[in-house]
Amino acid sequence: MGEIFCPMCGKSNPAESEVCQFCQARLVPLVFSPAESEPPEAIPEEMPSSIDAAPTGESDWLLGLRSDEPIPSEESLADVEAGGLEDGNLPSDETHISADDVPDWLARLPGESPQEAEAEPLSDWLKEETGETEQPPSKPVEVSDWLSHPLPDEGQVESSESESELAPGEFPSWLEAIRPVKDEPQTVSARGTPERIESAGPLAGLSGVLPAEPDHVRPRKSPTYPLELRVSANQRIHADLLQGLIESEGRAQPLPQRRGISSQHVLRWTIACVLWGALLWSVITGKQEAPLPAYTEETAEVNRLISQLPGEARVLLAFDYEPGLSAEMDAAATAVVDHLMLRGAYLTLVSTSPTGPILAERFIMKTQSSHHYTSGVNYVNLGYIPGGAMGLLSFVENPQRTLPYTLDTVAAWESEAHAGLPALQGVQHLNDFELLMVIVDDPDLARAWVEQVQPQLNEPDTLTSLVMVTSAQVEPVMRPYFEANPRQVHGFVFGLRGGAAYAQLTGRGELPRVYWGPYGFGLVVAALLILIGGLVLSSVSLLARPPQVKGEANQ
Amino acid sequence: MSIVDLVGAILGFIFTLLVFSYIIGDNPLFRLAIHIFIGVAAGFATIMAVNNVLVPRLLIPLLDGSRAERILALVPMVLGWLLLTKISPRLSPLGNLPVAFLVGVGAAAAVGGAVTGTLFPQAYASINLFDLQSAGAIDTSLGLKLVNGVIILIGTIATLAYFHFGVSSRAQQPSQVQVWLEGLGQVGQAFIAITLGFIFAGIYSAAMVALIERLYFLVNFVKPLLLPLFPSS
Amino acid sequence: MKATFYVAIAMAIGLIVLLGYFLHLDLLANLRVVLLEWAVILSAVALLVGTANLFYVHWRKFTTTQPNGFYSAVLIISFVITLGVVGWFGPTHAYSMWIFNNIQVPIEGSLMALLTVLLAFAGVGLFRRKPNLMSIIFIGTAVLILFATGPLFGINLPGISELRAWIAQVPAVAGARGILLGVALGTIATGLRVLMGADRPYGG
Repeated sequence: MGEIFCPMCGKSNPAESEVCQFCQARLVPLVFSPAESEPPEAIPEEMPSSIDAAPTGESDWLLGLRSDEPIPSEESLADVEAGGLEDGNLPSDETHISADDVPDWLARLPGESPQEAEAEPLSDWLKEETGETEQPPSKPVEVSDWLSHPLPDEGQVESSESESELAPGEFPSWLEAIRPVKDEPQTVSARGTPERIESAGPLAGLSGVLPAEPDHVRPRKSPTYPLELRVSANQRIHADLLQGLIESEGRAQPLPQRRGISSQHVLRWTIACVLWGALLWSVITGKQEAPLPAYTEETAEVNRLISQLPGEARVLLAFDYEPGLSAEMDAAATAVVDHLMLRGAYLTLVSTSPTGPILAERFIMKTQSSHHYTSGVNYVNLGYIPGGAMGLLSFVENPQRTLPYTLDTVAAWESEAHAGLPALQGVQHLNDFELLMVIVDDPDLARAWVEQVQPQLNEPDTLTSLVMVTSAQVEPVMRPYFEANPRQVHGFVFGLRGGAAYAQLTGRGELPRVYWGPYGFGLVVAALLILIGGLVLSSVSLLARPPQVKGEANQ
Repeated sequence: MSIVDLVGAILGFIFTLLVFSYIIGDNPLFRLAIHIFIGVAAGFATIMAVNNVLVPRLLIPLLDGSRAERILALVPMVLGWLLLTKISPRLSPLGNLPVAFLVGVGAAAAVGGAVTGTLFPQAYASINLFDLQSAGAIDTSLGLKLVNGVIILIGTIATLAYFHFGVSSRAQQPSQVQVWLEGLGQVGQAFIAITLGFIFAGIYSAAMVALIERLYFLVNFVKPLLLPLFPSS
Repeated sequence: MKATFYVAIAMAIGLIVLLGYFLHLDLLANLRVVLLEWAVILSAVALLVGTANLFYVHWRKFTTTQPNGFYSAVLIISFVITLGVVGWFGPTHAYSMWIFNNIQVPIEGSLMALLTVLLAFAGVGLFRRKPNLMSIIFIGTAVLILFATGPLFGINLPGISELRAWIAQVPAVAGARGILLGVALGTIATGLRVLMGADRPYGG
């Protein structure tokens, strides 16, 4: 069964349909019944020079398609589409559209002038187009007399003298460069769109009509475009420059060496000389002895908790600081750990830092040698817990599986096979320690300890307290955990100030006392440097401003 | 002092001066000291990871453990080998599985810790600032505690308001931040400035102690050599 | 397919660990312990990957004679010597402690000591441009705390310690608590995005 494709939506319809069953567009144009019916003929290449008078009822615009008559202007066609000319009359079949009638704007459009249209025969490519196109079989339609004749030869179209020929448009060089070299320019209609001559259906031979078959169902060879570019010398220079810029991206460029001494260098050296000179003088002469500070509430709590420990208490001691801050942390923790050892506590050392276990050994050797604590007897070093918060959580959940051996690969925990070390006798979980003390320099690490460990200590019947010895920089961030109600951390020793206060509480601890005097002196010198230096610098920059700016500022 | 200790002290002295030379400017001696430090630190970290973690928790269970322990140790061993492929760019995709494992556990630990360890307790603490019963018997400082509590509560809320970046959008009107929220954010910014200033002072204090310790070391090293110049204590 | 598998692994394992914070079931607790133990072992392997990559990068720099290849050679030599000594004798042996006490601690301590000059320089630099209210509050607080932390020329001035204590206990706590809550909320949001598969840092 034959089928016909809708020219509007492109869908297939039965051959006998007159309207599309999908979009209701007409599939079969309205048929004109001529007075003399003639069998449909093959469309000749050229329309006869004259066309018989239009049968009654034939639209005037169609009459204009006859050979004698010039092609109606696009303007008149547009008017027809819009619903008629101003005077309401459609162009009659006697209407000749001469070149004089062609409006100027139409005549100026690039393309063939009427004279050229007259002179040139139908273009070869048009002929090829009509010849190459494969037309699906369409229903033979009764073609009227005038439609069966070819289009009037453009050479026979009467036209007046043409307007002055429009000079071809000048394209910018970059557009010229990317224009396909071998492409043939298509004929462009007055509207600027490439024209195509319908080759199938009742409108065969007409141009500028909607296709009977949509393009997408008509197989055709896709056009090929050459890839050659026409590049000018200037464009090549620009392209090379851009390529160089892109290639240099990602390549490490050597930093330009600053030559000479700038004011920044002088300022830095001045600060270094003043500060280090003052401190060196204080250290050498030892003349900056100062009374130790008074203890604060958080420091007193640590003292109270340690004082209340039973004899031979099990204490977990975490060394979680970096070697760079060992000076401050050693000074802050000396008096506290000394107090623990005085109470006879068994210490279990852990760390979440790779260098922590070694720092712990160093701390005990350097600051607590008077207590003669022995590894494996009085204290046990379980070593390093990797993974940060994950490692802490693992240690909280099951300390025995997380750190089964000491740093010397000795089985540490009590089990059926091993008696366990004295420091871990009776310890299965974190709650079995009487005290947890974390010596930490980093706020994030301190927070991780609180978040992972402290909820475990909130279990019922848990008497384990959590205290921290921290660097001074941690104080602002960790204090909320002490100020909370209920407290999450039961006591703090903040920095050298806290360590010195603790040393005053216990009356022991040499290191914080040694550092305290130069420490206070150095902080005051630094504060004065920042204050005075800043005021001088701001005054200099203010005086160095140009008068205009000052005047504007005063307005 | 033994020869070994003397050599160690000399090394420490030299390295301290090499690092202090950075004050003059970046120079080859400083870079030399830094590269030595990085090499030593990496060596220590590697040995701690192998001796303290992998050997006791992976090798020993595989070689000397019970059947169940061996089976349980196989999984991290396979995952560990896959993770090692991250060293090679070509084989790197093989390491995505153990990384996904680590990321899942790490994210869960972070979320759980944040909720149970910080969010709820600290929010509860902000409420309990006005718990008069826990503040103890009525005394003269109760009023001061209440005032402090109000300041802390306002400061906490204002600080959180500073980190709010949402805008209200209405039809055909440009998005804009609410005025009261912006004002509250300004107040929060002041509280943050105070906190950060405190942290700055804390870092400086820690650095000061490190400097004092280094200066003591330098002086104590040089002092015996220049004994006549120092007054007897 | 692979991406989905990785996401499923991360989500499933993360869910088990997260639920353990809120549900106390024996099976869940046992599973959680095993997963955490594996994570700890993998974290140690990740550290090895880091040090191996460091070694590889500097080895390439040295063998391909790039600029500053001498420093890479120094790094490799110090790395290998430390590995040998600490690995053979143990981390707490006298030789290992000698390297730690005489090389690592002095260098790190000196780097920290440098901050006294650099931070003071930065503090002075704040005055170079026209300071706004927030920078004045910032540097003013810092200077006040520096004055109040240590003894002022050997004298503990009355009032200044109390002022320091009040700043530490009230406005600084307020700001810090807000920061802690904000950080916690951000951590929860980011962690949940990972657990729900919205973020895939593992290359899925």
